[in-house]
Amino acid sequence: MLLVARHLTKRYRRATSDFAAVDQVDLELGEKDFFCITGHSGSGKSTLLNLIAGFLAPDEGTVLLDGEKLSALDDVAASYLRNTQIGYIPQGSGVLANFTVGDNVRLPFYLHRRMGDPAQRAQTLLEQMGIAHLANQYPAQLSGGELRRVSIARALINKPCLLLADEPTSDLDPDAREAVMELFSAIARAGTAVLVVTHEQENLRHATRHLIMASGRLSGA
Amino acid sequence: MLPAGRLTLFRIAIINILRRPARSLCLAGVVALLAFVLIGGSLLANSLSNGAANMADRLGADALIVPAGYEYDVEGALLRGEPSSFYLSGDLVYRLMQLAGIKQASPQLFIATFASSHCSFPVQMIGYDPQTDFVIVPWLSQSLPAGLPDGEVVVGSSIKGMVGDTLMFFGRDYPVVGKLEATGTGFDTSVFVNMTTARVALGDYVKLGGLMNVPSDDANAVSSITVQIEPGYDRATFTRSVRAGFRDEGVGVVLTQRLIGSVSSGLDVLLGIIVVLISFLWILSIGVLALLFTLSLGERRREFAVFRALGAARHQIALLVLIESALISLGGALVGTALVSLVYLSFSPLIGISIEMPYLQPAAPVIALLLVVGLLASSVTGPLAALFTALKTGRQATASLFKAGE
Amino acid sequence: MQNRLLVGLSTIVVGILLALGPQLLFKICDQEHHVGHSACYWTGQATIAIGIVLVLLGTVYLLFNNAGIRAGLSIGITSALVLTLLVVNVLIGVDPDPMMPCHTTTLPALNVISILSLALAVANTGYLLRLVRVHQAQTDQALAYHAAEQKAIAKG
Repeated sequence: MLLVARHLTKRYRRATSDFAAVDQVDLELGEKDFFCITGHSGSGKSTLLNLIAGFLAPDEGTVLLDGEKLSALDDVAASYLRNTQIGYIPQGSGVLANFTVGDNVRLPFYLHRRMGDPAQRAQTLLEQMGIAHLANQYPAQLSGGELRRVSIARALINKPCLLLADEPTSDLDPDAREAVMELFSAIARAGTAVLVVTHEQENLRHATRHLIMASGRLSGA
Repeated sequence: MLPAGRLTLFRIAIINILRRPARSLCLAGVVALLAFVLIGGSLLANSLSNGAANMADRLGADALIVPAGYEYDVEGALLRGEPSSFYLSGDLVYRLMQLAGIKQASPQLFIATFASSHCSFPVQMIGYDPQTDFVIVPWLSQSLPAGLPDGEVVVGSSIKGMVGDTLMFFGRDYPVVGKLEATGTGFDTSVFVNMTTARVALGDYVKLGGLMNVPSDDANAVSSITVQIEPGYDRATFTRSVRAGFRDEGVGVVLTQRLIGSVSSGLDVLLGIIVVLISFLWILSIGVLALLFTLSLGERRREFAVFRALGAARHQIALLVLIESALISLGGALVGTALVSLVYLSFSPLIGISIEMPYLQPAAPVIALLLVVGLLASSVTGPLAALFTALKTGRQATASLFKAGE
Repeated sequence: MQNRLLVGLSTIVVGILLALGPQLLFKICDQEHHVGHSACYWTGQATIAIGIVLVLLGTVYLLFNNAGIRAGLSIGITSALVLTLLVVNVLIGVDPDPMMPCHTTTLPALNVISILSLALAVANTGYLLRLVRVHQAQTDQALAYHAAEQKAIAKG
């Protein structure tokens, strides 16, 4: 299994008591899996995603990515793992406004020392997303759907084994939403494990499995 | 086709700076202002110190005996280049030079030229006695080892006229045989002649209607007597003896130590003010920049969260912030340094005239050193101000940087 | 819009300063010589002319949105400022007397204004020329994409 999460728990202090945003969650994801997690606002699905990505340290439990225990790594090693193995698509577009579309896609390649030139791969990804003609544009000139595609292309530049997406279709019209979910399906079929957090029920039919998050607990559909 | 070029942290920093010109210019502007004041203040302080030191060197004498009531005028002539004419009768001169406590004494003759039009300025002509002088001769002997012949002049650095030119004073032509280096004192706007030449010029001055204070029928009148007091002889005693012995004959004494002292104390106060102002401005700049960086980086929390999400380590985020602050700081410091070089050096002569204190611009290597030190000191202000915020931004957990999406 | 207003208005201000400054603010002091006016006087006359040219260029700059036209005008402004420096320091100059007001005040004032304005004019020219190049590249790219699309439609 590519991703193995066991007894994941994350607690926060609220006023006078603790509450568990994520409560004893177990999750396994393999190659070509495309999972969607749905749940109401405040159910803990984004916190779960952040734990899996290593942005948050769990209070209990472990996350193993390709056999590596995320919480055991120091910041540099964890960042390297995130850069090479995880493609993360944040909520909103997360596209950097100061950089062109092309530079946004290439950027993750340069965050750690690597040989080579990602220009050709970036060009290929942009063509696959259908936005190659926008390579020299700035994000302010793009539509919501186009920005989401930039985000996806950027997440794939380093050929990650796991793609995480937090509400990737929010603020998109139905056609754009459908196009983005189709892209995720294609990515999963190509071998990358995909985990999408969403509150839109229409997205579920693309997933190979549907999970529900409620009050910090995860259950299968 | 995509543009080439590795996206190093340095290049990312430059892109961030260039894409936010208003923010970058604002931050750089603060540093530019700091550099301007820091370097400008240093140049001013150095010029004033130079002038005061030079003045102490040039004065040479321990005391100047002048007509009573003209102590301020001789100060003006020596320090501020304000030409004036005043005279002691020849008979007084002989008796004064016999006073106890005098090791060396030498007469000088001051004549202020006329201002011929609204555009010209009177110049101080100073006649000295080549046989007894000990103030001007050592200085002139550097450029005129054989001495200054009759009918010829040596000009101060601010006088129009080069060696070989001819200047006219009181209707008579005088060839220029020497031009002195700048001293930052009234000597820069003076012309020097020997006593014989000076007496001829005085005669011409009177013939042309110059009646200011000239004693009639006195071929031996002088303006002042420069005095070197015997080592160990008390200056206060000397001053008292002059005043007591010549009480009703209109004689005054200026101790050059007091002159230098008053200039020094005035200078100390001014330098103190400059140092306090510069220090205050530096601290204020660091504070303002720290505030601006904190506000600006606060707005960019999501941007840094994205960098972290893409796999940037904490130290890379901190380094990115520091590189940005260093580049902005350096840019601002360069602009401020260039600006102060242009403005200060262009207006230095006017500053020297307006400030009414001995003022001598430092030599080129000193100016260069002050510019470099000022540039470096200003350049580090940005990274210093951003350091705390940079480290804090790097440390913040990525999840807390993203807006909660739950 | 920002560039148009900022550069246009500041060029007009610089033009007014160069034209009227030596006459009213940092005054030349024209000492009559037996052969006529001094160098200071003629420098003052020349800067009136250059100042008027700059006011005109600045006014025209306000009227055009096109980056290429503004780049051309910016080159004109740059040239006028270079000419000012040449006139003030080389071609005509000022009275050699270091104590004269035009040497202590007028000359440095004209130099400082011209050099600062020149630096900004050169930067503005570079910026506008780059803008022209970028616009051209984007237009070319859009045209190429459109042509490729048309070709694909025709084929299909």
